[in-house]
Amino acid sequence: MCGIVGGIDVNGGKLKGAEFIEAIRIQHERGNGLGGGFAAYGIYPDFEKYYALHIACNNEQSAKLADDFIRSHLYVKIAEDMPTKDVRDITWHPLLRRYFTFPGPSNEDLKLSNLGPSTVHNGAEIIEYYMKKFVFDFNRSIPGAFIMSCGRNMGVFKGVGYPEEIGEFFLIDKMEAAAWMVHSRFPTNTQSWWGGAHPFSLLEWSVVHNGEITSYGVNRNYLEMFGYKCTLRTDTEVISYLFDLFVRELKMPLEDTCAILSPPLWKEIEEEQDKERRRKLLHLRQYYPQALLNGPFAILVSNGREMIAMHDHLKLRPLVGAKRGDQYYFSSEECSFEILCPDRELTWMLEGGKPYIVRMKEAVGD
Amino acid sequence: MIKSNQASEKSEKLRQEKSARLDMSRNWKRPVKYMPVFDYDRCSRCGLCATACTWGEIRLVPERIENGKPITIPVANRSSCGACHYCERQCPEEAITIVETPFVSSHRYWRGDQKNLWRQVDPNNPGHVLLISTGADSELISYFDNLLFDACQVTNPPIDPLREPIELRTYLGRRDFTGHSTPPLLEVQTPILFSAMSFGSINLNVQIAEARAAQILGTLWNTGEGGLHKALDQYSDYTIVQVASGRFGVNPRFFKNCSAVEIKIGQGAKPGIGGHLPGEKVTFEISRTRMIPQGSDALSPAPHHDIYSIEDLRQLIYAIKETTGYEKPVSVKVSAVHNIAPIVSGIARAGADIIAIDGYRGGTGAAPRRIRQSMGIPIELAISAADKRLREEQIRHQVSLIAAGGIRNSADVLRAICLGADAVYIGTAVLVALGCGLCQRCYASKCSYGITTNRPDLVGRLDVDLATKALVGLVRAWSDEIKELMGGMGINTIGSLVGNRDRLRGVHLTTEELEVLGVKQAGQ
Repeated sequence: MCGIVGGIDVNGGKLKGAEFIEAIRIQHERGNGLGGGFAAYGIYPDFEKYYALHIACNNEQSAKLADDFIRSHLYVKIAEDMPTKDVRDITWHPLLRRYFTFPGPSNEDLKLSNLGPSTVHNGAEIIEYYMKKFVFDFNRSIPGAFIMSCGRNMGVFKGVGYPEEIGEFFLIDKMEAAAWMVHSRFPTNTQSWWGGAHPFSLLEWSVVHNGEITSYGVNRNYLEMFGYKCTLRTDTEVISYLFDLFVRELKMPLEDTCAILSPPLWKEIEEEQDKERRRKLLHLRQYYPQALLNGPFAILVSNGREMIAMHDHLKLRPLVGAKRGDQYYFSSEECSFEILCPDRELTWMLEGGKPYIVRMKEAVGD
Repeated sequence: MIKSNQASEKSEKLRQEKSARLDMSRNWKRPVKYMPVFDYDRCSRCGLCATACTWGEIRLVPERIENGKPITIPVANRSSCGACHYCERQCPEEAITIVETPFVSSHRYWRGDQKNLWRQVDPNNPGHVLLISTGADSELISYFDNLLFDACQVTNPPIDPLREPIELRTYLGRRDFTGHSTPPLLEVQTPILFSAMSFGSINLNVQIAEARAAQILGTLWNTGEGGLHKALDQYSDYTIVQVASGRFGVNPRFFKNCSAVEIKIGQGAKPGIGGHLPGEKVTFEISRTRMIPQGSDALSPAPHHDIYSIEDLRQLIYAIKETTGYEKPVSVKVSAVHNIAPIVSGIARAGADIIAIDGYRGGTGAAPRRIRQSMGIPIELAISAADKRLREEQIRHQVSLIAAGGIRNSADVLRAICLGADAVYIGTAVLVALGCGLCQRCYASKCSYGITTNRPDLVGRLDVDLATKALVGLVRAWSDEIKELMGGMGINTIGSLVGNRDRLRGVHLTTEELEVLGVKQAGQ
């Protein structure tokens, strides 16, 4: 059991971090104090061109290694300690560092170090590919350190504790963001550590997940064929990598990606009236069976511009949605809406297996 | 004194007379392995058993005269029982029991081979290669038996297949992500396919039952290398035709009436050697289907004589694709051998849409015993190694893998899938479903069940309708069991298990074995 909460303003309006702390505090029962975290989008407008690395290091030695590694691969605009506040129940925390970076001291270096796949065509893609490779290499090769998030104008704040404590620790109550995703953890398949808390993030994509992915072995095998390295010892990271693979790398529409991750039953595909859509759904399910997510899950996925809410066919994990004007909220429990949007105009239960996609500027239901 | 001498001479003479009766050829007489034991209190003296036995083990001997009619009782010849259990099953009075007669040898090391060696030097037929049928029965470890499934507890709810849909539908074939057109994928409603068994090795009744069952079940059956009999044309949507080194029955009709073509390079029971159907088994129908003269030996050579390396295989694959207008997937079947991983990778790159790997336990209609027992590697290791290699080369998602050889039950099916197979072939299980007692003598063409024989007096022993029902029942039962297993694992579509070794744990295996299987030790 875990608790998840998310919210997005389709006009890019700011949502208060303090409210999200309260919204997850009310779901206290869903966690056990072994993990909590926040993903916030639109929080670094002054440095929006730079990749914001949130780094956690076990000790000074790993912090030194991490610093050397970052400086040897990336141009560092700013390096600083993350602002935190002492919280009574968080008795230990890793050294938390924040870097605003950009690939390569110069473009010349970038060309030399890039060995991108054939899908990489333009400069922006080369940069993204380089950053992704950097993150995998970092997580694999720096003992005692890991990257919490590495996207532009966004950040992940997570750790071992109840999410309301983690929120207080990272001063979330002082922040405002266009999109939030929050997670309260009750770990069941891996030991708790700061890297194992949610959200999981790769470049701009972040995921919060309540559930257990029984197809993890297949999903991981599949992702490894495309160069992804699953290093965080938990099933959730595959979801963020799958979104990264299909949406960012293979440039598939979000709807198709969702149809791959949580396809309709074969019978439902056969009963689909729209011939073109039937053909497409059949194709996606035939061609990408290894990317299908099996097991009980409720997930929120976002890249800051879009937010996808989805749970499994059998609705083995809860997920409800709420709408207030241009703001959309999702939560494991309706009680959170009483804090986030008591004056909401709509509350609904999401359909099993069907993604609900919210886009900035326009909201499209599926 | 004299008297004593006379007595001594007499006994010496007697001794010599008796000595002369010792039969030197009996030095090589094979000890009895199995025999029927008759309960004469139950026996009604009907004599059905002697007719049922096609192996000449039961003879009827006169017992008495009753109402002027001679009454006979069955007696075991102690010569040729192979424990097929047909007489035991046919006896209306339940008066027969097949027993195993222990072979007493003081030499433990030689115990098993003594008997086989005697057979090879039998003066009536000295110096012959030992033949055997079905798959290897050696006591080597079965990896399947040492792999256990995961189940959901607390953190993750198991799924009840009676209440929630669990999907077994599988698509086999090549997925091309570059926009090139590929043959359509083969759709099967369950990942269990009937393995290649040729017309000749089995009879037409069995093939018709397989084809009908495949149609009812929505799966596929495989013709084997003996061509496609005309009576089976109507099942083309459920038929895989096989092209082997003998090229028997390969003609336009054959390519037209199938949904996929399989090139057989090798077979698990006899890697590296071809097939041999003795001339006496080549009846009129078989000769027509195979396109060879009646009564001539049907020998398929060890290699395809147009395939001496991988590039030649590529040419054959594309020759078949050209022939079939790129409308039918091409499968390549190979035996599981030491180097299976790179071989499979080469086959995938040579253009095969499906690769079938047949393991050490794979069956056969006839193979030299030494080859069957000692060549090739177990399918569990081979499929795992092949799956791993294809993933490392980033092409696993483009082709389909079929595991074959030694699949005995639904759990074996699922284990093979978790180790990397998209689907499995079952062969011996098909025969057992038809009653086969696994006496391992298919090559003799005397099958008492009427399965692996084409003798006109025996083929009628298998009823096509009953056989079809049995095969449908087999696959349905296994499919339901697979759904139960999947439900316990909390997985509702079979695709989420292909190569999902996380859902397996090993017991009693060495670190190296676990590593090749890609499976963790139980408790980890």
